[in-house]
Amino acid sequence: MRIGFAGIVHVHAIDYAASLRRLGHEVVGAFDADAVALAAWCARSAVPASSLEDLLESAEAMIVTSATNEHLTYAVRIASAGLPILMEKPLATSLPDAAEIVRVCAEAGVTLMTALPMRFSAAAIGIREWMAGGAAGDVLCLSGVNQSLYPAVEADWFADAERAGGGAVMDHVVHLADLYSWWLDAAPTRVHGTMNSVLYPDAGVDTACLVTLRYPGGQLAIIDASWSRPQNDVVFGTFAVTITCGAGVVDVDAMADHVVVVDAETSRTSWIFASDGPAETMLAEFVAAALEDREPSVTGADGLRASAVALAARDSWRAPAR
Amino acid sequence: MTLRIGIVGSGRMASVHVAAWRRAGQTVSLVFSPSPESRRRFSEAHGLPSVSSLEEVAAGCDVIDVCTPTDTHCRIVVAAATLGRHVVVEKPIALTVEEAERMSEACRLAGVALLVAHVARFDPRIRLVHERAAAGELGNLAVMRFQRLSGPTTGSAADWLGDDARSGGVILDLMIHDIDLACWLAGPVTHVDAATVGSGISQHAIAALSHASGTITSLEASWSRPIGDFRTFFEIVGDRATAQSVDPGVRSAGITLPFDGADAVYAAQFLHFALVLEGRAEPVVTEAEATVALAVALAATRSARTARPVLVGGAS
Repeated sequence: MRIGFAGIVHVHAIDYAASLRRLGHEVVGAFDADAVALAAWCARSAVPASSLEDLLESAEAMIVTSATNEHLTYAVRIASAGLPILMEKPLATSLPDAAEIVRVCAEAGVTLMTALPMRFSAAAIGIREWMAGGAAGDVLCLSGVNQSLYPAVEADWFADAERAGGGAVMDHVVHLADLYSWWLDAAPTRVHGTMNSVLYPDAGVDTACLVTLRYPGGQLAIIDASWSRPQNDVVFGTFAVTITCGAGVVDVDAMADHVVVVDAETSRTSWIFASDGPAETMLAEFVAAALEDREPSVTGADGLRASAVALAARDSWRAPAR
Repeated sequence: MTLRIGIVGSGRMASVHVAAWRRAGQTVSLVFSPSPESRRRFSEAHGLPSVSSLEEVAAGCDVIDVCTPTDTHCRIVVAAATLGRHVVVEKPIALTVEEAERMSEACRLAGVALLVAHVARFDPRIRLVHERAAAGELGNLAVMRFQRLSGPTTGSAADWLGDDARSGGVILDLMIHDIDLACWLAGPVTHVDAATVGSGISQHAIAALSHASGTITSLEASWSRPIGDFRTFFEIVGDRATAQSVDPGVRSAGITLPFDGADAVYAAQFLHFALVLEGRAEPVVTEAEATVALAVALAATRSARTARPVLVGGAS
């Protein structure tokens, strides 16, 4: 399949390009309104720079990896060109914009998939099947962490309140929010965010974020989505959930699929992961859904549901008066 | 100097306290509990004389150690203070701030010490982290996470523990340990957002705290793990360094071992209490701090009940 990139400032864009090539697809070009950033990215990725018009002519599917506040503009352009879209998360910096993205794609009859790669981890799929079968009994609490290093070092827009819509709350909450809703088959009824900016105080956005959630069946959940990992840690972040339910307890660590390597000369420890992880499976599903003209396993509506949680957490937080 | 300890209570914590005082080199002189049958059984199990009133306890010891259900703490501690004995009491200090203040005042007027057994402060890993944090090695504390996860209580304690009106539920009885640690590390709490699920002896609670210092803390406490399970975890992230706990060094499956890391921690607490009572040390945790932890726990309970974040009133 011929695939194009609309916006290249998201840190995952270059990984997606590499994965698509490994899967045997052609990355026909990339566009970004920032010509300087585009040129630099194209040099690193060996993907040709293009105008958006040319891209919408030559590509069969588009991936949107721009800053979050540009998602809607791209969605409108790409949907009117009739191309399927894989869009980075969260969908938008406001709920109306996120809903509009879903509506525009539905109206144009184009496939919209949200980039939620953790849906494709074997552990997440296994837990979903196990819960759907009822064997978990009453789920009491989902307690999860999805922390990372500070992404604004590599891509400064992550800490731009206008471009990203917020800081840590807009970066990581969606992944666990999506898994929780997928497992419980429900959107939360109550969401509350507790944030601060003690880390990277000059960022101008929240850099640590805790979210408490309540679900219609009485289940509780908590998310730590902080940018609290060191920049030069062995791995970019954590992704783990403890499930407390009637059947007992299950601990899931999605980052455990690694091997620990210690360099004898430098004493440096590294964690090495296989390249064909959940993100690559997600891309394969996007392409398959586009080719087969069907709904992908992670839809725009799923992305809207998860984005709504992040936005609700962001908007519920009022910094305590000092 | 060896102190003579009088135990009030005959349940699980009373047993833990007897072993720990002895391990700390102190003398446990006698036990009292209202039920003759319970105190007879306890007396035999621990080789301790039993008495049938608090007055008799006071007559035979220097320190009265209150290991009874939480709703009885205030009454017994005030009576013990009136009898002129130093008092040790299990956490939570009481069910209400008003009771805690009454206990504190009674001890102050009687000129006796009131030591609240917030034992988690004596976990050597926690002491280590607190030392390093106090020395500035972690920098400004940004976000902390604590988990204290247990199976439901078994046996007769279920009668009062499983009754929120007597025990305060999982937040006042279990989460309060980590509430106190969070305050010890990051200072007073201004806001609490909490939720609970379950009831009786099987409850699970989560909370997010905002501290005046800017730190935010995530707490999780459970009585809903499999029976016999117990696990704690902490992660303290500062802008200079992060400190994190690891799994315990001894883990078993299908076997209940006769020893426990907790034994040494309780002994360390009572060794410290003995030094305080001999005037050779300042208390690691004061009754005022125990009352602050109670206030935050009560705010968390209110937040869980009203499904709304709550401002902590009266946090000093």
